[in-house]
Amino acid sequence: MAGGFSIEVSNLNKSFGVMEAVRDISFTVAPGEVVGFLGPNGAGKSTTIKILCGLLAATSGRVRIGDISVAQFPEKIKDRVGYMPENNPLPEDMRINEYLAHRARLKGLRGKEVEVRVQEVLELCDLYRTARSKIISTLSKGFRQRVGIADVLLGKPELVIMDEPTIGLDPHQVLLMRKLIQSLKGQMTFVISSHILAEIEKVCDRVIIINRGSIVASGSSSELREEFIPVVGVKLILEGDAHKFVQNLSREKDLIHFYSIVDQSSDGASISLEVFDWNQFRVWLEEQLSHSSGLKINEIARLESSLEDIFMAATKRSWDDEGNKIKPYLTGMS
Amino acid sequence: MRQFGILVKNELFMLFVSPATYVTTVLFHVLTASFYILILADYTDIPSEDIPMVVFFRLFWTVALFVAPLLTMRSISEERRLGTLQTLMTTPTTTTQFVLSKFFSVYALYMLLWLSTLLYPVLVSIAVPGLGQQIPLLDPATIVGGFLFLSLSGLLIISVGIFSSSITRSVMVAAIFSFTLLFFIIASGGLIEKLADNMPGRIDFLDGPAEYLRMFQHLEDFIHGILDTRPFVYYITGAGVFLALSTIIVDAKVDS
Repeated sequence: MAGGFSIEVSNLNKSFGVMEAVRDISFTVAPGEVVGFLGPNGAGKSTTIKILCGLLAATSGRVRIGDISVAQFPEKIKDRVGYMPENNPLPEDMRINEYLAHRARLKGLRGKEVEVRVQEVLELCDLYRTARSKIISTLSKGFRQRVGIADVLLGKPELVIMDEPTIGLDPHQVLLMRKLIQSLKGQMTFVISSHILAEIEKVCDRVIIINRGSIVASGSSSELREEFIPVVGVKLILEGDAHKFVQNLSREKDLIHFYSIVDQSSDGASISLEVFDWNQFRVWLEEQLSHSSGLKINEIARLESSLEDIFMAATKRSWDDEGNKIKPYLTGMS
Repeated sequence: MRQFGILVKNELFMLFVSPATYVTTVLFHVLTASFYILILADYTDIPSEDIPMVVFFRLFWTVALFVAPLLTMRSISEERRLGTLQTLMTTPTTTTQFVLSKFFSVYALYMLLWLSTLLYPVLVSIAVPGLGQQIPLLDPATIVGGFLFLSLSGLLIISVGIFSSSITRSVMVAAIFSFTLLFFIIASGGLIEKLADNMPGRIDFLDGPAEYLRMFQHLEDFIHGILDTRPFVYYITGAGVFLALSTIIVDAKVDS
């Protein structure tokens, strides 16, 4: 593999007439890595994925899958890539095992190999006992998704690209899917495009966030958290008269980015905050409490930012919508 | 070639399990068997120079207009509507292989349906003993000539259906477009000739092309044992053009 990358994208552009769907995107994915591909609707995710799969020609730029150029050899990369489109289209009239056997043959498997591999993927996707002979049109959404995943895995591709793989799956199936990806981690490279951010965070080593055709963030959850969420969320429940404490909160702009009074009475207050430095905040808090007789902490909790917070910060959606007003980084603060 | 074989095998299997195939088969036999019975009844009333199978072959256009669109309408439009074309193209399959597999599987079924009409004279001979001596039910030369014409014209007819199916996601639109296009192709030779008759001296240059396009004349030639290379060129290149256009369209629509 050139440079040891499973995917190497350099200065990729794609335009549809005057509309630029993808603008100068560059990224790499290492072999065995599980990468989440995130972005709002119309961000250019599906276009990029289709270019990676050789289904769509790029306007300019370079895409390599392993050591093969997608533009020069679109047919060759099809042996190496397993792609499950977003709505997972399947032929309605076929039975699952018939369909998978047909797909296995198309992917180059021969003779006894077909039967063995079909059985393997049916078992991997928990379809063998329950549904292998069912007609596809009679399947529920969850089963259809599993058939799509089974199909993707048939040819043992080096790279698996899945667009919204967990849509329509119940919690048990989502867990199964997560286990499946984890069991294949290292053997295959995964690119997973999804809107279910919690799922991406659980499964992926790294996240690429794309917005308006450009990459706005790339890295592991912790790296992105550091880059995009410069605050720590705090949930604070105080007992006693907190009026003075609340007044002081607004004065500490260097320490406190945002606060919201959830509930306040003469007996206490419940406050959500975003602070720039947790340790400094603890020191400041102790100082405040020492000066306020009768006020004490009933509960204090540090809140971790979720991928959703990172996503929102990276795509700057909330700021675009409401000008320069100070908005919290973490969802659930406002 | 292996991919093509796999695709054709699957297409034939899908046709075999599809209820639409059985409905079309029933419609085909209702139509053709009715024609055959009516032709035989006419022949026994007023014997003519043309044997029943010749008259039967002359009605090929009704089958072409109604049955061919039914056989081809789902072939590509359904794949586009469901999105399965996109998943197919993620395997090492080319659009040419895909279009040709659709074409050959439907063409095979089309010819199988026509070949099954050979049972009509056989069944009539069994059902009405002695009728075979009075009426020439099976004339080998006519049958070979007729089936050669059907197999040649079938190339163009089915390719038109495949082309119509490639331009739209709607099965109904594909069928209607196929019907209209086939109507013009079948009638074009006669229409141009009529036009030339009504405008003497003004469009004489169209006489040549009109002669070349007259499907009914081709049929007469074939069933009377006249084998000309021009119909071969016409049907094979015509089918090639429509299949090439279908491939170009499918190529452009893979990602949509």
